[in-house]
Amino acid sequence: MAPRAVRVGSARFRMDDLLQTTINGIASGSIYALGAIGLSLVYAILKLVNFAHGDFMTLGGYVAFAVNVSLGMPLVVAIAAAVVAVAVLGLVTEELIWRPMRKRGAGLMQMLLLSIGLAFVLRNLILLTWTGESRKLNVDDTASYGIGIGRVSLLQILVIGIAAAALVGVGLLLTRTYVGKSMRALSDSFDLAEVSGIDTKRVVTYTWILGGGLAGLAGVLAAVFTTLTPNMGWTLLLGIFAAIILGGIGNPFGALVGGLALGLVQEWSTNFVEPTYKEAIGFAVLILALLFRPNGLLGHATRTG
Amino acid sequence: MTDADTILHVDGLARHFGGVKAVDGATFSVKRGSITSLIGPNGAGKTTAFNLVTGFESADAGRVHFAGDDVSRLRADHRARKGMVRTFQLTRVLGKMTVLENAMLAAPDQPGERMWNVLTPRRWRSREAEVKAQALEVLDEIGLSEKAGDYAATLSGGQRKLLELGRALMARPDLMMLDEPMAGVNPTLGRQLLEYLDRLRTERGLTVLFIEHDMDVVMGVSDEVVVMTQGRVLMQDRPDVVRKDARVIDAYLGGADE
Amino acid sequence: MGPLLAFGFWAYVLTVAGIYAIFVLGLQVHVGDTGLLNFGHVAFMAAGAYSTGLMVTNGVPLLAAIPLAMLVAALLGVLVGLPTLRLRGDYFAIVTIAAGEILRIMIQNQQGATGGTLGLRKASGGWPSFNRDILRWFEDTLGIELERRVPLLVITWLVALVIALLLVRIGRSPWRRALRAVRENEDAVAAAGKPVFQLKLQALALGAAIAGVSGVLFTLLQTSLYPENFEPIVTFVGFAILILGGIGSYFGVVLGSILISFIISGVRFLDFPLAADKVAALRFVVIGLIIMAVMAFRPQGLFGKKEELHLD
Ligand SMILES: Nc1ncnc2c1ncn2[C@@H]1O[C@H](COP(=O)(O)OP(=O)(O)OP(=O)(O)O)[C@@H](O)[C@H]1O
Ligand SMILES: [Mg+2]
Repeated sequence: MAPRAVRVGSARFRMDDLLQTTINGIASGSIYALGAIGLSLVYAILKLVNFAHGDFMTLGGYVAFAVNVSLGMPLVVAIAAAVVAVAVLGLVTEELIWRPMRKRGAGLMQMLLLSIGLAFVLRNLILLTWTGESRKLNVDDTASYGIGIGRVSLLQILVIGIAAAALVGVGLLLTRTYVGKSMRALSDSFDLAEVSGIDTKRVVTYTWILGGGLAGLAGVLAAVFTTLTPNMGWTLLLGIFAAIILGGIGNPFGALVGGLALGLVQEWSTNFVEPTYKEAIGFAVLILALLFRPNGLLGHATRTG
Repeated sequence: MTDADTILHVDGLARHFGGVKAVDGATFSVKRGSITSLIGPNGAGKTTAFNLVTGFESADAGRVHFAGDDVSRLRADHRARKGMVRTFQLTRVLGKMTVLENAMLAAPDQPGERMWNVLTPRRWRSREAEVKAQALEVLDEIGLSEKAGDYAATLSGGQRKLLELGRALMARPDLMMLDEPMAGVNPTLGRQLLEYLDRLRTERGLTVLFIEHDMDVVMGVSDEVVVMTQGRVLMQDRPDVVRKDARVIDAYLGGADE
Repeated sequence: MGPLLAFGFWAYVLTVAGIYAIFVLGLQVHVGDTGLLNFGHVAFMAAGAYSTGLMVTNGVPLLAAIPLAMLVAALLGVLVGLPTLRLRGDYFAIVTIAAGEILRIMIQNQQGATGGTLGLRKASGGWPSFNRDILRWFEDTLGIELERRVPLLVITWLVALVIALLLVRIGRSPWRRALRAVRENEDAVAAAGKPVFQLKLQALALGAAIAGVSGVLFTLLQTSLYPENFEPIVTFVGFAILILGGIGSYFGVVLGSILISFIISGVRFLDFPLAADKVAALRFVVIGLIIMAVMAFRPQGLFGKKEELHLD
């Protein structure tokens, strides 16, 4: 099919570029979204802005690397191992750090700064264990398929497919199951949920399993899609935060929308400006969006009483 | 529309939160030099109306005229500088500052608050002394002088209410808008404070608009009463008229039913 | 001679500590005084550094470039503040990192002007030759042979001292009272008729200008500037210093910066059977643990006042 030319502003780009960048955008947006939903859940329920979330993802990537490459097991096993490992890490930090701190009445900022400390520790322990060398998982990164006028790589299909399945799963979990509904109740008001007889401790446990598991999964997908370095998660974290803020903080569905929006904007921008600017463009869009909607795209105003 | 006797005129004010119409086309006015109370069942939209009038929340519709000017588009701090000062139902004290500092902050016309004056204390030292003296006076009036040096975070709920009032007094407003100022304050002191406000009214021409649930207080001191229910103003009239109105009684009982 | 005894090396570490101290004094104005959780502070240091570098490499004399660089940093503060200062605290924190990253990515990509990742060379202009003049003067007239890093060390700490003293003096003004009030509760400040937004913008600009000074000194120390000098990690090391010293305490900032700088450089000398990059990782593990321990057990920091702690 002959490429159709479209003029936008002064730049000239082709329809197939648009399609291609859309596919790329959905793929990277899915990773942002997966990371963002986990982070957003933890924020909504525990009021914790977890700066270590990116490093949770990184750990997921490295656990998958250890299983998939060092031990030579299939990718599926590696993904499962990463999900479990990071969920466990979430639970351990809850037990050792977050719950004791909440009991002492620690404030939002105190917890946030603590999580920055944890981020330093995790990232550098990863660096100590696996060195700074960049790693690749054992997946075929050359296979790709033509679809219409664009190409989609096996990796992209993998990333988008797994992310979509996970996102649908989380959506069903949050809206259909008792645990999911309790989670949403807790995110509205922890105290209210507690007095109305919800077993908050159990919900918190599920939150970490879900939030940590999603971080682990996002980490593996990021490792599959890009390269795995100890800084991987930290670099993604800012985009994840941007996604959450775009969608409205504390709202898991907003996080999904924000993640995809960010991925698409970043990739689409490469049609017009150098790709080295795409991160900067993503952040600029975040700042612009907040100018017009200070509470995010799907966020609502907070109460003044 | 606004004559010289009206200090505040609110026209068709509206604000909704999702599906809740917290304020739904409220219209009322406050006479200069009066004590006017705003009453209504819980959730009637009184606090929201205060927020909209003072600019702490933005209105979906409606206008606010203060002292003859349309202030609807001004920011909250600007409205306050024009002489409309409010207190909060849920107190907003500056917890990690002393009670004295809380009071001193609110004094108007402080040259030392300008950034370029910070390094030249001679430009503000005398005003600062004045402000401190005034603040101590106000603290004395609201019974907090012994707490002057304590962090505000150490105050009790009732004391915080008092400090809110003190801060508003320090701002030397023309219109003082008090959101349930007596809640948690011991009744004797409450009455003293009302007398004090009454005195300021005669001495300084202060106007008071206050939200209050205690009907004895409302009927005892108000020149006029504005009744709100479900976001609308049901009526505005003298206390003796309001007291007898069937709709008002109904609104309160109706509110209690829900 | 082992590095432990190398005076020049410790002079370097202490100069870095002084630069951090200034950087964090600016952060203190934002975080400690005004409650602005600025996570993009490094951008203001970068603005100070690169504007100095760009001016001197284009023929502006260093002495003229320095105040201009502070001004540029302050203006960047205003520019960042205008769209972001109305946001909630946690949004502001994240958006400021984003703003800092935008600046760094731009510096990295504008290779023609900034040298990009290849670095901006000779960014300190006339400083090296001036430094040599100082050293010669000391040798000729006083007969003292100074280590070549000493002049900048002394200058840095003098600047830090002057800034700290100015901040203490500002601390007694009604302006700072208003800033602290903003930190405690913006609504209360607005209800008192004080221009909250303006106060925040002023605080942001002042702290940014101070960070700009740290950028200037950084330029004099390094002579070449690279975008990776200004990654977000620098801000977080700044926060580690702030937390350790105590949010709200100027004196704590000075001690915190010396302590953290010694940890960053000092771990080098523990005799580990480890490769250099592992040692680097280890010292950030230590810094991370310090942040965690201080936040958990002494959130007011070593020198902060517990009553004034505002982490909730
Ligand atoms: N920020 C907000 N978000 C959602 N709903 C709100 C918000 N502010 C107020 N409301 C709702 O608007 C209605 C009016 O609330 P408001 O606080 O103005 O009532 P009030 O008359 O002051 O009540 P009270 O006497 O109990 O103080 C209530 O139903 C309240 O739940
Ligand atoms: Mg109310």
